[in-house]
Amino acid sequence: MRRLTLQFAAVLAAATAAVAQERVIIASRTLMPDGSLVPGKAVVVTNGRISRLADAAEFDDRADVFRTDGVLSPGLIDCLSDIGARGHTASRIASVDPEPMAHEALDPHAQEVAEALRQGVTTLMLAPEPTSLIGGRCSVVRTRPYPHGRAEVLRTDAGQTLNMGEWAFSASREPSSRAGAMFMLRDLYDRVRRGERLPLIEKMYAGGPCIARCELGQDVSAVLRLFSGKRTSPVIVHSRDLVDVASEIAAFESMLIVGPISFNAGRRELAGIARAADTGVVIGFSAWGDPDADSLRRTAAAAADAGMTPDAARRALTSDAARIIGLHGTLGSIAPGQSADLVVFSHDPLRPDSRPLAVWVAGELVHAHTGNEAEELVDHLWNGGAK
Amino acid sequence: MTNAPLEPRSGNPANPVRSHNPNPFNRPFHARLPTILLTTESNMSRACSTSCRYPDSAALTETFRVRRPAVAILATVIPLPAFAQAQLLIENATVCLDGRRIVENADVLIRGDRIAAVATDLDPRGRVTRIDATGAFITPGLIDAWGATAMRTTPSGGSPDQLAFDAFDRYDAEAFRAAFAGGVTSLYISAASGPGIGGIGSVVRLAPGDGPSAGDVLLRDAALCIDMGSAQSPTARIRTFHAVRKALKDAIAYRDSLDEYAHDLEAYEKKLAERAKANDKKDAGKPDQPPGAQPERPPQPASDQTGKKPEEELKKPAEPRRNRQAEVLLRAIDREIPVRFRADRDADIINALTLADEFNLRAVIEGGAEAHLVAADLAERNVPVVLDHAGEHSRAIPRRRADALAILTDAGVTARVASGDASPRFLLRSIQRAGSPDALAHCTADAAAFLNVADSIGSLRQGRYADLVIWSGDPREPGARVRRVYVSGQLMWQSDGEGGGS
Repeated sequence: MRRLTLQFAAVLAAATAAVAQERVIIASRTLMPDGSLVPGKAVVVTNGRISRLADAAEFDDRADVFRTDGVLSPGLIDCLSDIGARGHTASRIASVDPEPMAHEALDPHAQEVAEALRQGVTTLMLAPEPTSLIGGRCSVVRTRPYPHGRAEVLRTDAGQTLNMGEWAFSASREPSSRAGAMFMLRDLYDRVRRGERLPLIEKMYAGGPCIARCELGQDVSAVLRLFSGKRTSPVIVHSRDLVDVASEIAAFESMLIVGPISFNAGRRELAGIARAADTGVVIGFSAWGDPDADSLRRTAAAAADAGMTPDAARRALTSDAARIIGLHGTLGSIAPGQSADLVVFSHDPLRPDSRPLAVWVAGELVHAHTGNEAEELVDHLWNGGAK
Repeated sequence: MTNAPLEPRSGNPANPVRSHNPNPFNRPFHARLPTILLTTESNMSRACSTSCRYPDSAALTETFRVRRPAVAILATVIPLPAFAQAQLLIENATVCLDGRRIVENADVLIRGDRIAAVATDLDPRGRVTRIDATGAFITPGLIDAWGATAMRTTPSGGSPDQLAFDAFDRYDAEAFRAAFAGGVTSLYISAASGPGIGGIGSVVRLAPGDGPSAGDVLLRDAALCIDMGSAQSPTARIRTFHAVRKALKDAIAYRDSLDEYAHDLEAYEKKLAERAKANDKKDAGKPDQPPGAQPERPPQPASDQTGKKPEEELKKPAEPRRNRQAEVLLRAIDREIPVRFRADRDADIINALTLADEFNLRAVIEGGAEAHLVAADLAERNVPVVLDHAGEHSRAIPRRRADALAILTDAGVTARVASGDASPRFLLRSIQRAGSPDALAHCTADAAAFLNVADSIGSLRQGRYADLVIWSGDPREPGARVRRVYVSGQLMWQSDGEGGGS
């Protein structure tokens, strides 16, 4: 009996130590919430959260600190993704189909989900395919493996999708054109005002989050006009004609999701992104439909080359993206209280030759690149640095 | 000593400066002279006010200074070689000489269309246009080891004697702009435009000049281009392989027929000469015959006047019809020019290697989306690969890999990354993304060596073409932008932020 009690006590002590254990990461540079890379910072992680951000000098005489030459970044956020749910997320028949939730179609075991995680993308906003005019709701999920084959869903109602473009039009049902689409949207609004019970549509018009995917610049204008005078502005998803509509988006204080941008992008598209960045619009990136695992960072690199400042491009991968998916207070920044979703990159994450060396989600090491540095890192984090 | 900015900023900055060059120093010396000596007050004040519009200290400012007016005037009378060419001095920049060696705080002196010197504290004599490039980073113009800039491709199919350069549209300003925005000034253009033998690929510079001199061909016959048809159906790919093999065999047969002809002709001429000699002896007793007419005398087909037994009929061998296509293929078979096989699928790459083995070709694989699967075969034969990392066409091939460059390099294969069919705007980024440890060298000195043009481009050394790019910072870092592109010492492009006019 006494032995058993002792054993129990030992286990309890060990568990408490494990839970309360403070882990410290010092990278040569740390990505701050404003997008800048700052040297000499120590990130202290306790219980899966960032407990504080300190001066590296404070830990000079501590051996149990992980130090790396890389760059410590928050986990990257893909603001509009179909990873793990390709081709399963929307009806092709109904033009108004607001109910489905994208995460219900997610296959958490899909290869590409694991690949995204290895590339440092820790959080996705999954969106339904744009085949209906009003087509389902976005969900925010994590890419890390989760017990019982479920996806780790952070948010189920992250945005009602509104799709303006050829994808949503059909010859066999309404709407078949842009004019028809606008008629339907106005009609829906009128029906809600007359008291018809369409709760999700009502919510969308009453200030609930809305993600509006727009094929052309004119679709952006149409959607913004539709919401003018209402309580909120939708998040605009558009890359093609930003040269023309960036200022309009800024005037409506909408947020913007762009991408994916390939290394074959045209001058006009690149110029548009630069213009949007100039207006100060909050921008996030999307890797929708792109087969390349590093698509999100490639998009950011192209945007920075096009004229977006590197700080803004890094924010668009992290803190600004968190704002767009509605989790700004929870993740996306290296700041006290935030979830410890962290990635060590070999260089600035905007550099195309930068490679993810280690990925943590909520303080748990979920991926370490094979190689000396990463092995040392695993040793530090799994064995608490006590060799 | 006058110290006045002379070059008023004019023209559309987005346009490559071609038809009208506002810089008087780019014109021949005698034509420039009046402008230099008669720089008017108003001219100077205009120039001053223009530069005052751009108070950004980082903005490049150009000044012209006559260091030794007397010498300058003297030079107009006795044009010395050193003074006969426009001099451009780009000062105080971080200069990357060949993608590897970097010199801080250096000056680049350009004389005419060539690099004259790169050193710290250069102070050349004579008239010099000075550009202060403090804080900027200078690299040689980037070289795309396989690009399609300004290519107007022919419809599918080609012929071995077609020239890629003939499809190069030197007036495609939009395409030039895209290349300059990425810092690219030279590229290899392929003649492959569909399955089969496409023609001869060339190395071109996006050079200035009016009319035909724009778009300079650096190396006209750079490679024979053969597309193995990776984008086609399996049947079409098999057919392509056999068609190419047959064409190469036919070329060898053509040469055999030429050899045979040469042999026959020699025998014929020998016999002819023998007969003429015999006739000479016979005719020796006839003094009336004019000398010199005899060797030319055609052989008599019929019996001689003497009534002797008729001689064996001498028939001149028929010369084979000239086959230009086969001649081109023979140059490849003789290893005079390399053969660029465009092949993405592993099976097509193996087919290309089979052809290279059979005909002893200097093969290069272009595309190579699945080259990593046959890396050992490539390494064994020392066949290099040019990957198009950003290319859209190879994206359709499921087994391509992002780390193909590393796999190939580790296997001992020379692998290059190029833009292929994609825009060259992100050439350097593609190379970085592919994981090249020396991204800048990859698209400067190493690319020039690979294309066999290292004595003209790819490094900032004396005598090389003055093709260079002024970047806002180290181009390997995020957000670095091309501010100016010079080709042959002439400003071809500057970014909008440069304050280059309206």
